[in-house]
Amino acid sequence: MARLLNFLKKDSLTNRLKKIKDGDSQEREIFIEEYIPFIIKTISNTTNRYVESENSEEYSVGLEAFNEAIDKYEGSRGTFISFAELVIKSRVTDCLRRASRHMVSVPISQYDDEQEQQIEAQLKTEDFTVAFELKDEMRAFEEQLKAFDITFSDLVNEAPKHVDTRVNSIQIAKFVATHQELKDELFRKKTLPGTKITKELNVTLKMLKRSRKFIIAAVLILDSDLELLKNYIYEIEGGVADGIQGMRGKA
Amino acid sequence: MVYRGCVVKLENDFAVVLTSTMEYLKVVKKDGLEEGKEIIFVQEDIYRRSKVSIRTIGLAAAMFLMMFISMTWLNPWSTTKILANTAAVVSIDINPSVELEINQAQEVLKVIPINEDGKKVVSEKLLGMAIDEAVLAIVDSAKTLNYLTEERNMVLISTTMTAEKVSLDGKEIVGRIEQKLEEKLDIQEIQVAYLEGKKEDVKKARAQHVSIGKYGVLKKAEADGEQITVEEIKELKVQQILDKGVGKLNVKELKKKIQDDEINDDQIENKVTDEKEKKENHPPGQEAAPGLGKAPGLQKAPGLQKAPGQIKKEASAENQNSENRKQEDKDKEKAVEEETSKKAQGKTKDQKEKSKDEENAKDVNSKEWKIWLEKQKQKNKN
Repeated sequence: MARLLNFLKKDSLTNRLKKIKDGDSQEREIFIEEYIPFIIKTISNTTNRYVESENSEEYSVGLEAFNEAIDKYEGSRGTFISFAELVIKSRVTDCLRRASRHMVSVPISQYDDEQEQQIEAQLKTEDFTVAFELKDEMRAFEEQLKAFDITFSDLVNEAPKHVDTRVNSIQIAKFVATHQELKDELFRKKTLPGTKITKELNVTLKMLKRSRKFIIAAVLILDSDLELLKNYIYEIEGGVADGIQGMRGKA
Repeated sequence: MVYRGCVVKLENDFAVVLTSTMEYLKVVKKDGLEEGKEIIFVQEDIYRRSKVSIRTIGLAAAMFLMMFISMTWLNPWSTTKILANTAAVVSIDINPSVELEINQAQEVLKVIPINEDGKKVVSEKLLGMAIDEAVLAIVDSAKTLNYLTEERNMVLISTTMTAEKVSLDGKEIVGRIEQKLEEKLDIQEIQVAYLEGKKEDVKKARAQHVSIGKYGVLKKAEADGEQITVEEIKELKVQQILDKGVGKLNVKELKKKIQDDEINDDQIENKVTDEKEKKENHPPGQEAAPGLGKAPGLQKAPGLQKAPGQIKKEASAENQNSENRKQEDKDKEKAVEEETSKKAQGKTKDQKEKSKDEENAKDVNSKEWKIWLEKQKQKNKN
């Protein structure tokens, strides 16, 4: 979307680039921020992998390359987008090549052989076990969903699209997860204790019915050890905390 | 927009991701995806079902193809167009020269008289007739106008395929014409020469105002090293062409009746032997020797007497062919052979002298017979 808008006001793009080159650092920040999706897409296309987190090496290399592209761009080099894409691609591939060479040249590093091996072995095992555990957790999560006759594709299709509905649903899920007797009832009956929830929270049965699967999934996540997913839930709650509290106050 | 999410499930062609905003999304698969990993992705990475709709594309293509086929094959407009196109040109030379353009259904589309005489034998009613009927009509009118008589009974027919994708066979057309003439024509005997023309020749022949049949003769003659010009061939009547042996044509006799007058004409005899040479792919020396060797003398030598016999054989065999085509087997052949040889014997005066020659000739003949009969069979099948 950001790209599209920029495409429409192409004239201002060159103006902005000129402004940035003249030393407007604030404008530069905004500009880069706007183009982050483009940077991620370009990196992802180059490596044919998803960028794993904001802290990954490729990501920072990509950002640097984009920054470099802003400085080096001239009107005669074609469109800025294609130029930037080229720069990012070449930098990222350079980075990947360097990384692979580095792996081969382990013995020539500044560490002792033994030290190096030790560190690496440690890192590897840790990484491996973490990955394995996560995978296992995910499997468990899926199994639990199956017990409620829910699949991931159901969730993709039926999860509430609207942000407010989603926030409400998560609110309900959190309520269920914190009340042991409700949770027990859910696991026993394999259905949400509708009447109790509607009594406690100001929600309708209809809404409960509609986002039943989503709520159950959220409850299961809160009940599990999936820290990352739990974090997502807390994040989303925190983001609209004021609104929800305001709602409670009214109730 | 940038999404951050955790991979919860890997499927065959997509992965399910739970985003930081608690949305469940499908994303396209890339290298190194694993359950539990957190990834950052953009709008374009979201999996859309329409992306993998090879089936729908196939369906659309099939529909398009069906439409296309039904348009081209079921549209009556295109079929009429095919029939309106000239598929072949048939030329007939007696002395009147006429060209008939026919379509794929062997119906006459256009009648082109090549010379003055030709104009007399054609009429409007030929248009739309089947080709064999049209030829019959032309030959009939040629007969009533005395172009065709008992003595001058040669007809030169040539066919040329002009359209490329045509399932017409020149020989088949001529076969039909010959059959028709045989059935309907009330003339004792007619000799038909057949030539197959080439597509390029049609233009050349028309440029020189000569019929395709005559042009074919000219080309043949030139190939054989004979000196003849276009003007000469234009002036020549078909009978003369054949009499002179220009271009060495294949001649086939169509007779109304089995019993016919003996043909003692020297020229015809020559022609017949000539024809035999062609038909049987026989080296000229072997067979033609008795006929040709003795003919110039014009004596009643055995060879000469044998020649009409051969004509007889052919004629009767032809009749046999048309009567019982399927029953033809070797026994029959022998019977016919014997019968005809008896007839021939009956007509000879000194049988003793002849019998030797006859026997020699028989050996040679019987082989040729088989070949010739086989050819006839094939023709009839066609």
